[in-house]
Amino acid sequence: MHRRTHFFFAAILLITLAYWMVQRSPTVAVPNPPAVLEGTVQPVTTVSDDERQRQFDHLEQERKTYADEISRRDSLREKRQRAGARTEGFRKQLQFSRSDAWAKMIASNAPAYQKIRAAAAIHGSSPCTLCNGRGTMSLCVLCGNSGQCPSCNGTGQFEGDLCPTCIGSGKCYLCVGKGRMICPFCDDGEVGSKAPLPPQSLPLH
Amino acid sequence: MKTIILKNHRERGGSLIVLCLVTVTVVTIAAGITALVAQGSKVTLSRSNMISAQEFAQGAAVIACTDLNTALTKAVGTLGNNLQTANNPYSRVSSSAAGVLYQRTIAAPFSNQTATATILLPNTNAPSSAKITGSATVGSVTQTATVNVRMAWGYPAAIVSVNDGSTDTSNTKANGQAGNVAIDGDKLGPIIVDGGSGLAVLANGRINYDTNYMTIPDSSYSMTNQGTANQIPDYTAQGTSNTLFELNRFIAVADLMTNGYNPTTKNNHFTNLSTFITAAKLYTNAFTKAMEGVVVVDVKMTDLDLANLTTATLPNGINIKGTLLLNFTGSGWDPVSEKIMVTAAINVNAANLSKLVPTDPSTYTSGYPPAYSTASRNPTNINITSKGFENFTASDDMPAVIYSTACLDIHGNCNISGVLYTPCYVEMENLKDGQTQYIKGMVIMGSGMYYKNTKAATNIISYDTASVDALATFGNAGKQVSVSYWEQ
Repeated sequence: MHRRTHFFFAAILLITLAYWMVQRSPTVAVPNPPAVLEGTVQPVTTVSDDERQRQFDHLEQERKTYADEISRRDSLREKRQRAGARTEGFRKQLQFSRSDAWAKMIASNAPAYQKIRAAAAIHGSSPCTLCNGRGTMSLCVLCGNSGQCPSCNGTGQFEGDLCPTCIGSGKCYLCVGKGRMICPFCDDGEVGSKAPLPPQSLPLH
Repeated sequence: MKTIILKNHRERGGSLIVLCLVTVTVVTIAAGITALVAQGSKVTLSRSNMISAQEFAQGAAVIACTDLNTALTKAVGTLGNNLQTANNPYSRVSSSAAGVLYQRTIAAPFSNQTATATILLPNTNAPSSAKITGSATVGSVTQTATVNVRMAWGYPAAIVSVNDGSTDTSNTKANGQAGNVAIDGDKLGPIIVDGGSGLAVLANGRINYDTNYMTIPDSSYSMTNQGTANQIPDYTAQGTSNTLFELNRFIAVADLMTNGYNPTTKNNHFTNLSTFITAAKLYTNAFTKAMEGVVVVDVKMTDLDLANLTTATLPNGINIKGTLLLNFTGSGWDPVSEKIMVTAAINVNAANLSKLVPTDPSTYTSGYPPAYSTASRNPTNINITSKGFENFTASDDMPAVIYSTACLDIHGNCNISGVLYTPCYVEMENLKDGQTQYIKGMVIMGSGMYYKNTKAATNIISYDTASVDALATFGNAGKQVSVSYWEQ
């Protein structure tokens, strides 16, 4: 073959190679690895196997802890519901057992209450003198001023479950644990002329 | 003689040229096809890597959001410290005017992949925003995902009750005192709880109301959350780190705010009711018509004026722009049964109610934030660092009314814009025809609420996110991380 022919084929091969090289260069714009915040931190892309395992273990532990917590809350919620279903019955028993004490308290304050009521009939309302003037008496008929739930003696537990009377709080429900119950004769220290008379039996709520 | 036939040479040369052209064409086409296939697979791979990297980066950002939320809702420690001492700890890598940058490498829950998460926090003790960036590299492609978050109030509702409550279903006062939300209304006056963009009531205990007079859609409230995943944390353990507001921080501001009408201390901290009543009366004739800033009133059980916050004593009411803190001090108080009854009007950041239509929530205006007559009345301009507290900032939402261990029993008119908070019990009873009890903001309490209107009067509690989201709580208590926006 003629020398020109060799030269010609060599040129073609070079052109093809050049074309191939050009084609190999990337034409897709791929974002450069960015500096995370103004170049202050470069991403760390590797962690040790131990660290990786620790993170997975921790994740699993978190899931378990969360599940346990939800389970614990569910259990407590069920206990409260069980106790709540028996509350009325337990409180009625207490209402019955404290009926004498309640009647005695109402009766002993009746004369004073009648006077207040009479004054209220004239003025529309009258300050209550049977409590501290703000609707709280100095005693609690239900717990005997101890503030403790009379059914569980303040433990919050009854026969291995939450106490139905106080729903586990251990506090007397009538005085909210303060040993001083809400005055049954007034509303926030005022006796209104049209206010209902004090309840004849110990309140259930 | 030898004859050379030139014609034959020309024919052979022509064939070679054609062959060359064909060869070049074939080789070029083959190279082009090969390049196209290679390019296609390269694009596909790059695209796949980019998508994967983007997903990992977004995942890392979301995980970092969770990490930040965990640190935020931890009862103790500063946010930055909580990030550094978490089970998956972050490293503090830099600090600049832009904030403090924390970083960690995330491996779990990714399979054979890691990603980097950074959290940029403003350099304050209680940051209200953060910038979170996730970054992941797959193949040769690195992608980042940036999300801007804010630490906003996490329990949007007009009434938030954190008490476990009881199982009783009555709407009596005793039931409210048992930790529930008892709403006592009848046919006379409207008693409204407007959740707006949140819920009407969010409670761990029960919400009890008279179904004869009220119809509340199930979707507007959430109750008996005690013992569920939605249980509201008890942010009312006053005196512990698990409290919503650091009361001494507010007292520090009041101590440093001058008030010439305070006859004793000459500042906004009143040490008894008598001096407060005196100042409240004088302010009726003052230029501002209202005390401004953080006003603290110490209330002792032995105070002779406990029963004097009445319309007779204060015919123009208690008028404050800013925050009223009733600081029940000394012995004798308790969270539920001890109270002071107020029949005088309580106006804190009072809204213009001249066009109020109770049945139209669009007329529920707000007086928040208050416009102070001078900059020195703005709590954000009071430097309390000398008393060991961080200054309030312009972005903080200040509560309207706070009271500590006892009950502020509101019997008269009230017009309050902002948050009413107490770790104890709330009693709002509208006891006179024609009165209006209006709260635009939120009521949050620790020991239940009794909300009553059986008069020809108006009661409205309406949720207002504008006065709640950036609440100046103690160490961001009650707030949660919520996404403001993602950056592309």
